[in-house]
Amino acid sequence: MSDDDPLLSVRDLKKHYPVKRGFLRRTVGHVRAVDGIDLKLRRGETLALVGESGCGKSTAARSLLHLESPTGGEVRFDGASVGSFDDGELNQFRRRAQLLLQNPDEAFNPRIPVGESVAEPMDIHGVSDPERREELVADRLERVGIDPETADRYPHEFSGGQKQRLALARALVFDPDLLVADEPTSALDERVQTRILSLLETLQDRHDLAILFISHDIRTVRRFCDRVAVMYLGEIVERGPVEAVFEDPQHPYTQALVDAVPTLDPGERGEAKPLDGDVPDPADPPSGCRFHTRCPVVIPPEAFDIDAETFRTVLNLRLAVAADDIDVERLRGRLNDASDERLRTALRERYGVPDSLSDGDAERALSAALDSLLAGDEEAALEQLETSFTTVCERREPETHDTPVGSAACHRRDESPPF
Amino acid sequence: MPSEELPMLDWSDERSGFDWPSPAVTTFLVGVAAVSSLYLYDYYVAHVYLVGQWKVSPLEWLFLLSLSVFAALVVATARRRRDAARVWRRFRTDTGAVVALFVFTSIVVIGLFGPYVRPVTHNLLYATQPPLFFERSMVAVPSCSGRVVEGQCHGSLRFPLGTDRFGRDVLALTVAGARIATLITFIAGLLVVPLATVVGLLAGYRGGWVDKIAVTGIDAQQTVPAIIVYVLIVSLSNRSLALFVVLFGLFSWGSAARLIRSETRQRRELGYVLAARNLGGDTGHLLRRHLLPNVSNAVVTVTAHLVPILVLTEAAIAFLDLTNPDLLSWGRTVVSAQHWWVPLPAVIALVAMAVSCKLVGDGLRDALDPRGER
Amino acid sequence: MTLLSVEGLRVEFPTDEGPVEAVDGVDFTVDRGEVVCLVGETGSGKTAACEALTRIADGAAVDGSVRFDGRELTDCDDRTLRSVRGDRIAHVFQQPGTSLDPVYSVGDQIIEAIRLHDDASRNEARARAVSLLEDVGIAAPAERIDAYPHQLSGGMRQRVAIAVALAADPDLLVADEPTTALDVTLQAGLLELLRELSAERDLAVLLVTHDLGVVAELADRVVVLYGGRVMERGGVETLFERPAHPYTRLLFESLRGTADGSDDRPTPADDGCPFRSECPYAVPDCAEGRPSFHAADDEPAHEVACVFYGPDYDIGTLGGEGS
Repeated sequence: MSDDDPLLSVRDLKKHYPVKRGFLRRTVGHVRAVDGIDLKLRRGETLALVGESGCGKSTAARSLLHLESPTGGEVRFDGASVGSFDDGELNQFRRRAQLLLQNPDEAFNPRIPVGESVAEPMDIHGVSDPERREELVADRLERVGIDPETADRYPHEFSGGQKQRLALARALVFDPDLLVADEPTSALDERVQTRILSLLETLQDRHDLAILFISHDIRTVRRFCDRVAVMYLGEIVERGPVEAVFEDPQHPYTQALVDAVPTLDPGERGEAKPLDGDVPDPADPPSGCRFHTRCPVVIPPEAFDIDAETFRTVLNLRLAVAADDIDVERLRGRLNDASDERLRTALRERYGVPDSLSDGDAERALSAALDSLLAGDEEAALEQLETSFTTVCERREPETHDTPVGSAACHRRDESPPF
Repeated sequence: MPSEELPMLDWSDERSGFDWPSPAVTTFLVGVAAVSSLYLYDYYVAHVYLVGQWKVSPLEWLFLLSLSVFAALVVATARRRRDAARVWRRFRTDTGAVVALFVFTSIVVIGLFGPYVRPVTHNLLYATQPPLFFERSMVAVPSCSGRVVEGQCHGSLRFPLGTDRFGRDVLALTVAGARIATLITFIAGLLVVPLATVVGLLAGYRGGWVDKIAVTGIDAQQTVPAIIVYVLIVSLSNRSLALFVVLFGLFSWGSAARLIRSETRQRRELGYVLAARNLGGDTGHLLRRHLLPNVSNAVVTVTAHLVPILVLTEAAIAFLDLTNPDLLSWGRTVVSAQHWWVPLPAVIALVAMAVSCKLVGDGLRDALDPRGER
Repeated sequence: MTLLSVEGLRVEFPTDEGPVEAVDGVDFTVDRGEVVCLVGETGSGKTAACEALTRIADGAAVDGSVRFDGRELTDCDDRTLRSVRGDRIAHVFQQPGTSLDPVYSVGDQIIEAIRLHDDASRNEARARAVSLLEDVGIAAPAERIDAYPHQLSGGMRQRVAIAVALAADPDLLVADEPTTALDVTLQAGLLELLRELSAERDLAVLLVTHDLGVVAELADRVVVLYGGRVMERGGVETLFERPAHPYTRLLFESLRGTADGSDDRPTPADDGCPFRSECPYAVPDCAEGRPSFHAADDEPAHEVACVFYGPDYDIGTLGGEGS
């Protein structure tokens, strides 16, 4: 195998969960937790998979380890397809690919002394010589800085950080090539995180370990990882070297993640920018670019001369109408049966839409839609909004473009915006 | 840090294709095979008596079967002597539980061997003898086994707990009742609870159709009151203790299985289960190594609950006169009593059994959890 | 003006092995409209300290003085305490929505909270609930008021929990790691909300966190806890610019990745400075009684409990002015 060949290569990995309803448990849809992701990981390299909770990072980890069988795509490990492994090969794979989990309090069976838990891989894979087991356990414990004398203690006698190191010791028993670390430090205090990360670094250097580091914490990722893949709703939206990607994000979602990180300077407070709205339901992901429902720089329609910020507000209003989130009668009641004029202003205010759009055509279309809405004809309002205020971001899936250092899937990078 | 190179594992000692069952499982299988061959021998060859004068009742066959589970438990405990010693060390700190264990074991030992030492005999000559330290007018007794002072018959060592109106020794009656309670205990604790545990574990861990079938079965079982079925069958055929045990055994494990199932479900997605799965552990390994020990709370609690319930139910049914009058259970003794000293030992024994079982269960549950370590 | 003043607060939890001291003599104050952060790692006693204010944790033995708006809370009976809880001092917890009852709509829960402390009519209460939801940044509050907690996302649930806490118009909001369970994209919004609420309603906020990023975003003053004791306290800008205590410095260095981490926590020392068993600068004097507070620098409110700031030592020994 040449050095350039990746140890792990994931192509178009998909994991869908059926949504079942009713008495007969019919499948009525699918939660597309992971919807076609590609990853490559070389020996000795650390790749971060980042995104909000619910974006499918953990599912991706479990399906690429074949702990849950993927719905589609291929995982190749050391050149061979994991999906086609027979039992023996799968056992071999299980020894070489290890998993480190987020919550150290759950990582150990509370009823078994930690030494025995660390030796568990040997039970499973049939290493029975007691002397050899003891020697190996002691070695692995020392390697993670735990006194082997304490091996007969129970998990509750260790701190969170120590348990995470013990979990690492267990993962190291077979000298693995790949370590999938699913938020391994996010449940820990800062100082403890630092300890775990530096330990991981040392072990990686020594054993040429490839690490897939799953995290939502940009600060940790910047400190620890080489490359990053940013995931949103089951898809990878941007990838590249960590520093380059976070210094100059090419995808608005990456930018939003970076912007949301609080500074450590009380003088600069208030600069962290939250991202509006929640992650949409993965059973019914938005069309086109999945981020368009929250994207602060969504592309306005060419027909109108309005800026992205204003278009965002109109789009929010449109999405609220579509989600049936606006109850005109109730609003009227709250405003003490105010005039239609006041209701219009109130609606615009709620969604941050300016009193009058700068583009005359756009303003006419919006006014017409608001009139229909106030007249109680939501369907007409929605149709008006959907024909006038539409964006390429929702119509077409963005292609993945090369960036100076990696790639990003965003229509803003299209060479000639395809309106 | 130790040497630069990790000591590598030698894969020649990697497990080969076939797994020999563990010693505990082997013991169980050998036990089942032995009981089955004895049964076949009894059925085809020996006819009425298996050995000597021993006519094995259906209940005793079940008891023999439960002994093979018991033997497997003993072997499993012996294989994990260190853990067993640790559990015992912790159990010992709970004085109440230790006393209860002594009481409970005494009842079981008396139940197992007592009837051979003190069989029940009828002797109308010595009917209604008072217990030791009590006296009764000579007019009321046919003859007196103890001293007679001023027309009063005193209790004697020959019948320390007195006798009933048929001249049966109350001590022997109580011992006979202990035997029935012991048989029920063994069968409930060693056949019914393990069945509930296996069903609960599998349903909880596997989910899907396994779970659906198990839950449907449990639901169906719980909608039918066992006592109704029992009364129905008893009205049509013979009354036997085996029928009682089989029926109530079959109808009583549902709630236990349900509890174990829900405990299993809560744990099947926990980190250590996932970690073991990623290490390549198969379902058997996961259930045995991780889920069973962590639902042992529920198993112990369920056992400590189920055993006295079954013993008390038998007493209740005997009290309702729905069991075979020849079965000298505690309930039967209570119902047929006409003098105060006849039911008293049985009632005390019933209460002692129920309370000690509960206390042993609580003590064991706490002792099994290493987090309670001091 | 001082709203809450805590002096010599001690909290003990009974365990099988005897009482465990979670908080061991903590002093701090919170002024009206001010945001004070209690910062500490797991086991520093930060949560125990703020749960002890209105004794919401059962079984804890609380000692010391908690003066709230001129009244001594440690002397109060349960009835008085109940009226203080919620009415004057409200709590928000870490897990978004564990404080919300899943079988009632969010409106019902806010309305209940309003009517518990105020004999408003149902309609008035409902109108106030809608405007509270709006205040905590829930879009379309009139529609969302009838939603059930499970229909809302984690971020929205946490906002609703804040709305419930604000229902009785309290003077002090105690927020225990309110953003820890949330994504960073939602965290910034929630911090902004707390900042606005504090300013607009003259609401004092006592925020418990382990995250210095949250502190930087929100705090006016900071109290650093270790082993149930205050190590350092001061205004947020001074403290971030010139962390004085060796422990505070270690926290910052670790956050910036310039220090070795540690997770072998020696039990904090019972006497002397609790941090001395971990402190890289520990000297024999650290074991000699509790270190008293010394001025850390020219800022009068910036105090540090470390012998190196006392008269017998030269601060220079600690090397540099923080990091």
